[in-house]
Amino acid sequence: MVELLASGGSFEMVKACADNGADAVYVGAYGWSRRRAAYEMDDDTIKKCADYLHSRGKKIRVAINTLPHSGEVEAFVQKVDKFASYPIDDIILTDPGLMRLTKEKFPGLSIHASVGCTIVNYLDARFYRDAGATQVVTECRMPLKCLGNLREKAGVGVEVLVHATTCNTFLGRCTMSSYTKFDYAEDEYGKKHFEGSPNRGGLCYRICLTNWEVEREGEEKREGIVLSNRAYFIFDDIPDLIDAGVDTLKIQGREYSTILVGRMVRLYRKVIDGYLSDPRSFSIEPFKEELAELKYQRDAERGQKTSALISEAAN
Amino acid sequence: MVDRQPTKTEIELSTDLFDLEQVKETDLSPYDSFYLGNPYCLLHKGNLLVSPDDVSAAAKILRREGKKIYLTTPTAPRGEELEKVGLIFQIARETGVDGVEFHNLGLLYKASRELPEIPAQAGVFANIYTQVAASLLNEYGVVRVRPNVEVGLDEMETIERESPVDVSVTLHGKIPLGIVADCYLLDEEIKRDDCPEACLTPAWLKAQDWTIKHVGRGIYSGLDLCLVEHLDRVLERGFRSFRIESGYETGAYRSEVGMVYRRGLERALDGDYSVDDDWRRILKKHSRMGFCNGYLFGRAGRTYVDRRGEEISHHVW
Repeated sequence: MVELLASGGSFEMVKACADNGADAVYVGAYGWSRRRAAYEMDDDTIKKCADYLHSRGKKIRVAINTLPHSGEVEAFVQKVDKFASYPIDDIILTDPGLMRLTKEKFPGLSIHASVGCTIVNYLDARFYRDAGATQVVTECRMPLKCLGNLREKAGVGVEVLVHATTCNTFLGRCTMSSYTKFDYAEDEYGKKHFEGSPNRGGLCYRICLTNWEVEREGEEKREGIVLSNRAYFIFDDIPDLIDAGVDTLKIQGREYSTILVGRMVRLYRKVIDGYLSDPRSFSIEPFKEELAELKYQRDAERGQKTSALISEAAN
Repeated sequence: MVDRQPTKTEIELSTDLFDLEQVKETDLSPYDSFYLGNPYCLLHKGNLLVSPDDVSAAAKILRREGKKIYLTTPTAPRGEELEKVGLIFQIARETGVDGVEFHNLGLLYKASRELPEIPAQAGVFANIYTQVAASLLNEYGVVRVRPNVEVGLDEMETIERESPVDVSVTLHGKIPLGIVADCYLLDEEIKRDDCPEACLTPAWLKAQDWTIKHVGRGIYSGLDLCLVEHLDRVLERGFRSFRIESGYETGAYRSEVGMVYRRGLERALDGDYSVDDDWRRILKKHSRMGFCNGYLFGRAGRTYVDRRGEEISHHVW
């Protein structure tokens, strides 16, 4: 049975996801996940989320998927040890060395290779499988035909982002944000924070979405160029993804409002259940009006955030 | 610290050569080794990754000059690029290269089974940030890593000290900031019809006080990373492998910048290090937008940190 995984940027969002039909919710550990601090959680809140989700028969996945400072390996192990004791169900990681370490020290914990691993082919999936991953999040643009045989070729679970963003670059392989603005700080617990680096601290200033002026030798200057970076919904292909044997459909969006994320989860739940209950007569068309409303709201929220982030980077 | 300083014979200065033309137009003498091939785009005209005859000719020239040869590999191979990996491995084997650089860990996985006789290296897009990742890659035959650009010198030192691999430090050149999934120059809005020549003339993208250099499938910093002021201190940290990023630069850039750094490294090893005005003039001549080095000192990449550890204008000297 395909799993619907949703994003928990706060305890309220976790509740909204669970109550609207998510099978599992992922949350980010403060300072350790690919989002800024406002959408991450302290350890006590993660415990509260774990208890809430488990009491409803749902799973919790914890993202510890930044690429940490080389001096934080011991702190990482302590963090995972603490979460494993709650317990949690799965852990999302990016650094392959930390995957190997986790596999050795916490053999009962299932490891998911993060979208930050940039898994573009089945060989990548094999590499991360050997490092310890039992499931991989595929790169956003991976064609359906490749997704379909990934499990067979690599022997791992397959997770697809059905709501996310296709960056201008390959996600996980971009440092444009930290090139323009980057702040390093250490908090009272000794955690190192890398503001401005999506890979290391979670905050991306989305500078690719600013208006660029382009100069090229021998050509006229062009203005108002925006590099492609689009938020998307995969919707029409949900039946095909289910038929292809994809294990998890993931709704990304910790930075969006709780109401919007809850509505996204409910819509996907209806689509998945509708298809699974009667694949032959299922039609996606009746759901498209609601999708259009969600897109509109999502784009409005995203547009506001993008403008604020670009301004923040410029100051 | 000083007792860790490498000797002249241990130092290895490397740069990129994307095609045979670049081999011919470059003064090879400042360098000890070269990374052959353009890892961003196999459509690059004469890309040595997929041009066996040109690689053979390049290898002949480089071997005659006593240089080491490494072959790089595609950064994020999918579809047709993935299908060409067999050819790339064949070229590596037949040329007898001294090493193969991998940005994609899937290709490294494949090479550990199909090319175990050739030492592997992890390129900048392999995203190595920690010593535990470097140690894991060593199990796949990796002997050298070039960490992600965000990794500072302090962390590089930890990686080199606490893992069995050699760390390659970039001394100069545009910083590789990203791999683009679909070529910017072939995008619907741009619609250039002069591929594969289009990316040889870079597009400079400017906004606020930011500049990036876009080459279609790759994004570089607009500013040139520059460590010439810090060479003696870099050597004191014990690093031995150095790289100048030059794939999308001219032969003159590769030749003259390489010469500055070769002389700089030799002077730093002799002690009493200083930067000649002539070196500054040459570096400035080849830098259209100015200099940076911030990542290496824990700051934003585009900042320039001087010898006193202070941030100063990009347009130094």
